[in-house]
Amino acid sequence: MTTPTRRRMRSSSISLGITALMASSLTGCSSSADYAAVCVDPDTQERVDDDQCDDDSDYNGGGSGFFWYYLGASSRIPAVGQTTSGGTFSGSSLNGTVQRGGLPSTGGSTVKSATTKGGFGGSSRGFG
Amino acid sequence: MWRHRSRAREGWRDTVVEQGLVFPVTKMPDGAELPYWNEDAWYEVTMEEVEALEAATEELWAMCLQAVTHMATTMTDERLGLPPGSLEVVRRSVEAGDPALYARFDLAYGADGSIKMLEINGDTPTGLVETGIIQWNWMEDVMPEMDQWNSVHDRLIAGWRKLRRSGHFDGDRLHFLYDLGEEDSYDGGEMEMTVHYLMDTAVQAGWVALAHPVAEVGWNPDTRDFRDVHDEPLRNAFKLYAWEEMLAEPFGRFVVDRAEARPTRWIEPAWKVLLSTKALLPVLWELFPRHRLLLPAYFDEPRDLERWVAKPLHGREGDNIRIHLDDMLEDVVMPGGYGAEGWVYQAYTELPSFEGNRVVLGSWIVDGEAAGMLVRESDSMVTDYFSRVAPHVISDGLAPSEEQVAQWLAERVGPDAPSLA
Repeated sequence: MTTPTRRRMRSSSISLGITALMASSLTGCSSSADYAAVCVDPDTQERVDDDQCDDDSDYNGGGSGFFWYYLGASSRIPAVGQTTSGGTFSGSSLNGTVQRGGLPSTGGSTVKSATTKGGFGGSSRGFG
Repeated sequence: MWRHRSRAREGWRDTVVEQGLVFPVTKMPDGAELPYWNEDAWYEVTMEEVEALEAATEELWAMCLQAVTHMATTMTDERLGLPPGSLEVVRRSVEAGDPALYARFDLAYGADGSIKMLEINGDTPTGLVETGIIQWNWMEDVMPEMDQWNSVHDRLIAGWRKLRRSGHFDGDRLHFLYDLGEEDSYDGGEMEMTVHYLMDTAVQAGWVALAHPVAEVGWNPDTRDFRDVHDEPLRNAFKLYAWEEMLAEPFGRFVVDRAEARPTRWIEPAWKVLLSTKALLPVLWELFPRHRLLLPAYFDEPRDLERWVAKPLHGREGDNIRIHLDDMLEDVVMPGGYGAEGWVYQAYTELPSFEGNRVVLGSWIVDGEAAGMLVRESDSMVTDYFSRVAPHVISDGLAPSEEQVAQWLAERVGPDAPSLA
């Protein structure tokens, strides 16, 4: 006859990554940009794929190639292949947050989405 | 159950902070600090005691699930002090069988072995870092050969894995949202750490996770969906933020009105709002009269109770609690901003006192099963914001093999797992 072994109640082991990381630095988050850039051929004003643009310098009115073209928050986003206007090639002159590339290749309504915030999270009460 | 004095580990404060308890002390209004994590003492329980507490926890959980379906079908938003439309959201959540992850009971464990449910926090429980990590590591450091009633960590990972595979969620990306709190209401990182610990266990269960404050959640009127901080659709979201608050806030309307083109899947689900209201207490007493695990409780008035505790329906952390013991004595009244939503009256029960430390046990439910406990001790009659937590061990339980642990984790304690009817 064997002695019944007692149940064990505790966790077998604890491995943690994020928890310790968070304990060492509690961080905040970003929100959506004020300007966003699409890649454009200055000769035709036509939007091309983002990966055609890899030059960090702004277009200065001469030479050839593709350059980042910055659109303001309320601008319509052109699809790749469409012409664009109303923005600027002078990225270094902008005040505000800038997102370079990553806009939908099919275009869209505006640079800044219609999303509004603040509809949750107004409570100042503790939970727990 | 016994309380033993103990010498705190050298450098304990840095140790627990590094492990995730970034709030090792509680700041008093006058700037003084009280220990929140207290390892100057530990509690000893026997396996027999743990098994009684475990069985009581599971029985209470089954009763709570019965109460949820009863409340959802028979009560009104007004009676529950909830924003209009809340119960409709709850009913849809119950009908959809929305799965839940966890909850915490607060229990009074009498010297005579009696177990009484004080309340349950079913929607936004905290204390996980303390339970799952800190007291477990303390035992590993101080008495590694002993056992602890604490499979919270293992069960969280298993619970997240089960949720991921349940078919109830939209992909495997999961957002973790929390109330950041500002100035006076900032909690020293408790919310963030609780959420990030949960995120840690979710990632280990295969979820792709991102955390940010709930105030960064957006609503896009063009696509009619909730958005995250990067303006990506919020498909699945865990929130450490109370449903009754969400439903009363501007974005709650989109949930009530079913305005979402593709609804966000929430954890905890909307039906949990019924397990975070004190209205549950009189409902349970009505459904299970004179049940040995319950204290008598009534809506609106103390009725025949001589010694009672008045609790605001949505109260938390002891706020606005009023204790009446004797007509000749003044009532104990706690400050706070709750009460307009309504009150319940619950029979007063004496908490066990160990050298003046009044003890409430936090008993965890993870994925519908009892998972472990956290001892909280307090100098006053109300276990409030200034209470402390202390570790515990099972004195007659010695550590068995990994295989045995795996087998026990796979076994249920009771018969079939309870579910919403």
